[in-house]
Amino acid sequence: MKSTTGKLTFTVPLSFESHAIAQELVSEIHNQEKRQQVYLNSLSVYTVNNYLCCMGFETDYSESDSRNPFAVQLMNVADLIVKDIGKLECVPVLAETEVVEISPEVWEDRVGYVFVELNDSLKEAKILGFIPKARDKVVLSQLDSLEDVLVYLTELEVVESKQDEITSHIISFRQWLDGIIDSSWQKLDELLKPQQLGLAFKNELSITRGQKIDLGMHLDKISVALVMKVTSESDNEEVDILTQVYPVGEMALPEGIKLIIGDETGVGLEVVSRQDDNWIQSEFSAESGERFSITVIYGDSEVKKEFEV
Amino acid sequence: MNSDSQQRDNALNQQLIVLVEEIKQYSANDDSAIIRVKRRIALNKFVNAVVNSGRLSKQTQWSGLPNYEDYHNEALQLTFMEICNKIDEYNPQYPVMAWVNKIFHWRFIDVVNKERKKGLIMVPKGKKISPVLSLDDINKEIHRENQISQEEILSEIINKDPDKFLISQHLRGHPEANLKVILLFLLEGNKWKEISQDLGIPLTTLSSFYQRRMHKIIDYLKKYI
Repeated sequence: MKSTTGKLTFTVPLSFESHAIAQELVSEIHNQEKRQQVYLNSLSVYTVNNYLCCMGFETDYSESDSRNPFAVQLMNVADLIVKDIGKLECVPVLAETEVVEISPEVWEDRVGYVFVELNDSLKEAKILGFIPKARDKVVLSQLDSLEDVLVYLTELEVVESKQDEITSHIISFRQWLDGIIDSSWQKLDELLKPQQLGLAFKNELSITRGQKIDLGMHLDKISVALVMKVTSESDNEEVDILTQVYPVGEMALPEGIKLIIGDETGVGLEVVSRQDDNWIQSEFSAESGERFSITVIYGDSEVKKEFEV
Repeated sequence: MNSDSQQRDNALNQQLIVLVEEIKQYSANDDSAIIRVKRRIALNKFVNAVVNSGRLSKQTQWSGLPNYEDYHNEALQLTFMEICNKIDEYNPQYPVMAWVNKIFHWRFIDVVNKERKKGLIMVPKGKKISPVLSLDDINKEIHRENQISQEEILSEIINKDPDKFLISQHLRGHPEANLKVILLFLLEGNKWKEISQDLGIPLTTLSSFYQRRMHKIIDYLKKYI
């Protein structure tokens, strides 16, 4: 038994399935150079797909351009779609090659380039390594290792799945206006004292909801109500948003509570409570699809909520 | 002799078990990229260790089949996939290679059945039809008479450009650098460098312009095929 440590490699045996896919793609191509290019590209993509599936990645092999008979005719393409990550170009390399050129039509829209060595019998393919960004000429002895491929793709995969989670926590005003409101957002008469109501809200066609937020530690602990009023004009993509912070159980806010509205660029509006303020507020409008965050800060503690219009 | 080889098998099994335990210790769905990477690296090492063990079955009961090597390779490839995806189901009661070879055996049967359906096993003796082409084979037996190639069909449509779509799509300020011209250049086998020099437009500008319109081009050409 050879050593199992040291540089990682992966070799895929190629047989009926891989060659059937390649033969189908070249069946109507007569130009010899093009035939060879398409055939080798196809085996190379098959190899990388096989490797990534073994390693537990999800791919969209059949939807890749490299499987499309027109795309392969019109481009020198060997792409593989890796789900939630992007397109990986799988560049075939024949034995004893030292330098490879990457074809210009695949310089963009790729998360990386994996190099696959095919032997002359085309019965076996070995994954050599990768580079994250396209280069005109690639020296094979300087490739990043297979371990780097795994690290790089896994990091992209994890970042992607975290973003999905964040998205599911975003509060959608479109849903509010459609009457779908998470029960953690209460009606104001359930949250505030009658005297506090009616200060800013008159009879308007809008949705108003509030949520209790605990801030501060120990003796400084306070509860405030974050109140959102969303007004939508029917013929407009824009939504007016009024956001307010009220004290819960008290009539006045402590001094120094910050209300910050931030958009995707991170730039935002900031309001700070002064002594004896009954509430603080910030008003703005946002377009459909726009995302923003609302942060309430008191001392060292802060609560951030993400919204989408 | 016998006990020697048994000892070697035991040592091999120990080595493989260590790798299996390492894989199982890291969850495939862990939130941490580091954990997932550790699992994948161990998985990759495990497959390599299986390949290099010298204990993969030769599946000799099928050695009489024409294209035996191809059947072997196809089944082996499926076996790698399966041991990777089912590693958490491995029962350490059995030696690792016994588990791997059992899977290999089942996948071999699958491949034989599948190819038998396609009629490949009915190939007359001595006549070897190889569905697995070598580099030299790729360009053999393509000159079938009377058959129009896809290149010819495509270049005819591109030349006609029935909706004048291809000619209308050009780089800003360069009507001569349109998709029709680029496509015809490419179908004639020109390299990007040559096309770029011919049109006097930087290579990256040109190839990026082309790449971004690829799906539109395909949809357009498909209408006329």
